[in-house]
Amino acid sequence: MYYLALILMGILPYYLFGKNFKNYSTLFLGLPLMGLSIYHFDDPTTASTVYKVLELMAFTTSVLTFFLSYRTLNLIKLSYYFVFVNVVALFIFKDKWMFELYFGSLVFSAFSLYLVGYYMDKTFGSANIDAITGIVLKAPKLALFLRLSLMNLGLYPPFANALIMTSNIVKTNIGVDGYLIVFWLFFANFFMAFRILNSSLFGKPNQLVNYKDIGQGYVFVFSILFLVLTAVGFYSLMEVLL
Amino acid sequence: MIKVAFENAVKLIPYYWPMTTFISRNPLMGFEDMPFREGLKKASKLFKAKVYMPSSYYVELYKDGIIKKDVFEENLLEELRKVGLEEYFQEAKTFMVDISPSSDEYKKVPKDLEKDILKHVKSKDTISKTYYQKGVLGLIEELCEDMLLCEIVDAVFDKNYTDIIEKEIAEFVARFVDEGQTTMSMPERERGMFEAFRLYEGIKETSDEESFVEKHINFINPNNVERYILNHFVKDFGWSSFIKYRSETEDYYFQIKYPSSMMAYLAVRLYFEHKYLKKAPIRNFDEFRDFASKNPYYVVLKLLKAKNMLYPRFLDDMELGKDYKAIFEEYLNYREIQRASFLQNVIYAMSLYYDNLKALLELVEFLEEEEGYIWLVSLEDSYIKDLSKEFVMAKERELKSNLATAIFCIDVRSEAIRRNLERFGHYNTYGVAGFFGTPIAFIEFDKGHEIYSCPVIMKPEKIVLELPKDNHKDYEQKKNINYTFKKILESLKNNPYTPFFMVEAMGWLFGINLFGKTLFPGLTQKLMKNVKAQKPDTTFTIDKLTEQEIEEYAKRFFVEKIQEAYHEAYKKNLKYKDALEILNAILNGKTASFDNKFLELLKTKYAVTKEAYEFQKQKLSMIGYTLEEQVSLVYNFLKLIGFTKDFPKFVFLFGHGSTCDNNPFESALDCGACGGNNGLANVRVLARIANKRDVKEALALKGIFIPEDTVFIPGIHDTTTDELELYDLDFVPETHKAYLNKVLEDFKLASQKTREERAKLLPYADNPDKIFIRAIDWSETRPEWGLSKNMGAYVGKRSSTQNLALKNRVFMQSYDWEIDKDGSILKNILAGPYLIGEWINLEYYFSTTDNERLGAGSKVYHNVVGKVGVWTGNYGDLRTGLPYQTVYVDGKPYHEPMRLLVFVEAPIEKVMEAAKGVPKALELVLNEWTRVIIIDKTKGAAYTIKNKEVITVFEQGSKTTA
Repeated sequence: MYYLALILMGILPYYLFGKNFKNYSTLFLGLPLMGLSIYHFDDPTTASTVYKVLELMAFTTSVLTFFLSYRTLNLIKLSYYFVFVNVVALFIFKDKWMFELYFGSLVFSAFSLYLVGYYMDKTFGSANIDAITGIVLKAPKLALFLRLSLMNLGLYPPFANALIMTSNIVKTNIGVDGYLIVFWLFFANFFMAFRILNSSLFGKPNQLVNYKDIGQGYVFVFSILFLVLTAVGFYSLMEVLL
Repeated sequence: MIKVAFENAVKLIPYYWPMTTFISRNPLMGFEDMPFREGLKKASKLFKAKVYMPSSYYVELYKDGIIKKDVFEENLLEELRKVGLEEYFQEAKTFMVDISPSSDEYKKVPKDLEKDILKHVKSKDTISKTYYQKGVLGLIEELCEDMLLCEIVDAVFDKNYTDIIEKEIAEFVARFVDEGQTTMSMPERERGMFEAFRLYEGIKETSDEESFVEKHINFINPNNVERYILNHFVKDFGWSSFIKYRSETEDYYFQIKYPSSMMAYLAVRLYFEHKYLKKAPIRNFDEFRDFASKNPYYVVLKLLKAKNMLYPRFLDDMELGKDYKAIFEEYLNYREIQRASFLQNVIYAMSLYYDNLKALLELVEFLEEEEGYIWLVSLEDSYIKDLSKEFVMAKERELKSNLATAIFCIDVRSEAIRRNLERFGHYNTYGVAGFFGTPIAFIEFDKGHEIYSCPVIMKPEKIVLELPKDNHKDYEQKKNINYTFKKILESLKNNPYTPFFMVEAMGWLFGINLFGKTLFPGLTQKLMKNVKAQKPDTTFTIDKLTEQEIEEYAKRFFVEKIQEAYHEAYKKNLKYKDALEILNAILNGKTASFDNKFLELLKTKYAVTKEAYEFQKQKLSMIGYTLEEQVSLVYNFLKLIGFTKDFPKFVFLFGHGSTCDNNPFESALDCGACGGNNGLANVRVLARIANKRDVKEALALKGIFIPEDTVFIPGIHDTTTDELELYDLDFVPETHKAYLNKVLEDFKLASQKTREERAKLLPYADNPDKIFIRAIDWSETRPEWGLSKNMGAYVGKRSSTQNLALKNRVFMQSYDWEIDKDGSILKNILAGPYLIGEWINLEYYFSTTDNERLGAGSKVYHNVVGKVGVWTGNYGDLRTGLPYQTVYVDGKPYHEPMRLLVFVEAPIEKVMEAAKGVPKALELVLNEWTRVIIIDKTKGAAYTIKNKEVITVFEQGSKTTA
């Protein structure tokens, strides 16, 4: 069950079936949550050799995903990659609840990024970060939520993901390999997020795109998402401080 | 072969002056030999720049009544008539006023898309047409026309060569042209740009720059060499413009010292391109053509993406690895549907009847191309209509008394102060180009180099030196202290170790200025004024030196050099007499008895040669004026402005300058007619000459009687604060002192009134007193508006403009056609102020229509480079034109871009005759780069020139204007 959890959290089915990401996109972000539920009820033995091998595999796949993310320009695809890059975090969280919190927050942030990508695809005709540029000027509300999602995913403090990670480092005793993973996660998430901030948000608006900002419905959904993330972030801050 | 292509390419690049003497110029000056409309079309395509404002801007002016309804309709109808579409006048108007400003709303794809429209689009759309006619390879060729090979490689292979190459070019060029910004300047620059570059890059080959360029061009092998060279120049438009100016200005100090040429610059560009592309997947156009023929659809899609012509959805398809041909065909189809949908929606919206589809399609396409021009002409004609009437009908105002005459620069910023001064009823004012007809090479006190204080199209024949009147010990002491302190700071700053403790020990000293300027700018300025050495009272070398004096000074100059050289060579002092003997020997070519080594030192290091001696003599002979020259200078000046009688007690000559801090574009606010310098030197020279008794006597013989008690007083009009400051008041006799006090009071009041006017227009300057603080505030991006909103020029009598508040928008050149019997004065005006006015006006025009491409962009991101200009960020192209803050405010244009409306008050025959005598001016008039309106008061009518024909704009007695 533990392996199934890992497979689902790593969205492996996406790599197997999701080449045409436009059609399968919603389903794929449900899978990590399913994996997380399985993980919740499972009790893995962390000291086994298999566990170490898995850790190495997860790390290698995380690195490969990072490079893969640089080959795509699609925001929806990137939202999956963020999840997959971060699955390796499982191996640095000694506290199961903290990992669940981190992964849950991650999926929520990735979902908000996915939602931005989805909106762009439906409204602007594409979620391509190279083509949909200058969102700050043309769709400021959408840009705000995109920024918040990316700051969360990019492990910018004081957003939830960064705080949970920090809390984990402070509270638990992680080894050298753990610090390597932490360093990697901060690096990978930051660069993946920064790339989008740079090109899509602050570029010159594309004249071939009919920009339109998000409506009330989207604002409501995004607000709920970020309220949840804020609550999680606050909780993690308390964990660090207390 | 390359030479011809090279020269044709260079022709289209404008000049760009260094920022220390910023000169407004027409960035499209290379197109001035074409009619305005045609030139703009070509330039817009070449520079990828917007040359008209968006239609929403004009529609707003139309709705505000600034563009008059009848004028607009008349112009629209006239344009439609030319293409036989006048019956669709209403549809055209609907398109321009209602549809075009919100064209995004018409892009939805309709359910019932007309096949005929789609067919039309297939035959007209640029991409589709080329593809169907020339095939995919033909399309690739067309898309690559304006691209460099490195850009093509980047586009096709997702590489980043262009940025690297651009960075290399910018780094070399910036270091080569540096005028003292860096502490470690590039070595061997004296050898010239190409030789320095060879050393810089370690290039072994010894070919000259032209062969070098030819070799690299041949390797790259573009289809069209001329266009490829032009693409290189256009890529870094700013650097190209500056190097063109530098290379073609032989007497530019830094060009003499570190020579550059456009060919060398091209060699640098091509070398770097070639160098980096050696490692690229394709290295020249042959390889590219080969690659493109094997992967045509992939290449075409990549090129479309690079040019931002590919709709985003097709990028996704490319990422998914679909068949490129299918993607391209789908793209083409999508593009055609989008365009056809737009056309159909527009046609439905503008026409109730749908009977003649072909004509309606033609109409939309015609308007899309020409609407900018139609709006522009309508805006201009609206002003012409109103102003011509006012100018023709204007009556002369009576003076209460003739206390003084004040002569200002024609600059638009003089209009308000002149008007406010005239309101007292005791003053006449005149306008003249700010160098006051006195072109000089001016060597300021304690400065080692001359500045040309005259329009850039002139080369001064006279040198004027500023000399201290008396002992200036205080100045010397303070200057020496400041200089020593500065040197210590510099050496501490540039030493590898000292900055560490210097910051700790002396950093606070910089804090005084930093915090002071930010928090207490007024107080800090006063404090700094006391620290700085104040220039002593000075005088000018007005009179010409005699032959003996020239000989004497030249000899003294060279004898000192010989003495210095002798000391260097033998560590001994040489007597004056002996040094003179050596000099005479060199001049007579009898040097056999002297040490050869010493003679070589004199020749190479100290430039003591017969040629240098003669050159120095010639320079000395340029100092000052003979009496005849002085008389002629004042006579011509007074005739030029039509001021030949009724001389009052005072004649004030006001040059102008500006006050601002931390502004690289400071000289853009100074006097353009003085080469971007403050105009004080010119007025001081002229006043000194005009006050001379023998000059006045000679003028009387020529028919201009200047009373003995008339005093010419020079002054400066600060265009930022509108303060009028007077100089050389020692000319004023005791008898005039009481009158002078009255005048000074009036000046103060006029300045205050003008400031109040100006404060209303400056953003965040709600009270006029704030203007003084803004002038010294180092964070202020708009200390003043400069010449923003300039719209016209009036060449004629002040009485015709006196009753109108022209709100600092009109250049005002005084001219009296009745004095100008042979038309020579008007010819001079057309050859000078008219051309400069056109440059200024079009610099503002294009900086507004496209501030990113033809202007300098936002000041906020500017960094000074090499003391020659600014770039955005830390490297890149030199930013030319005017910054965003000069022409825009709060995201909206402040400047109203239109061509200069030049009103000339004279009989029409006289104007036409004069224009014929100035071919360049005639070319600009006929090609409509300016609009000329002739105010013919003898006929009570105003005329303009449109489509090379004279049209009556207004006729006295007639109810309507044409």
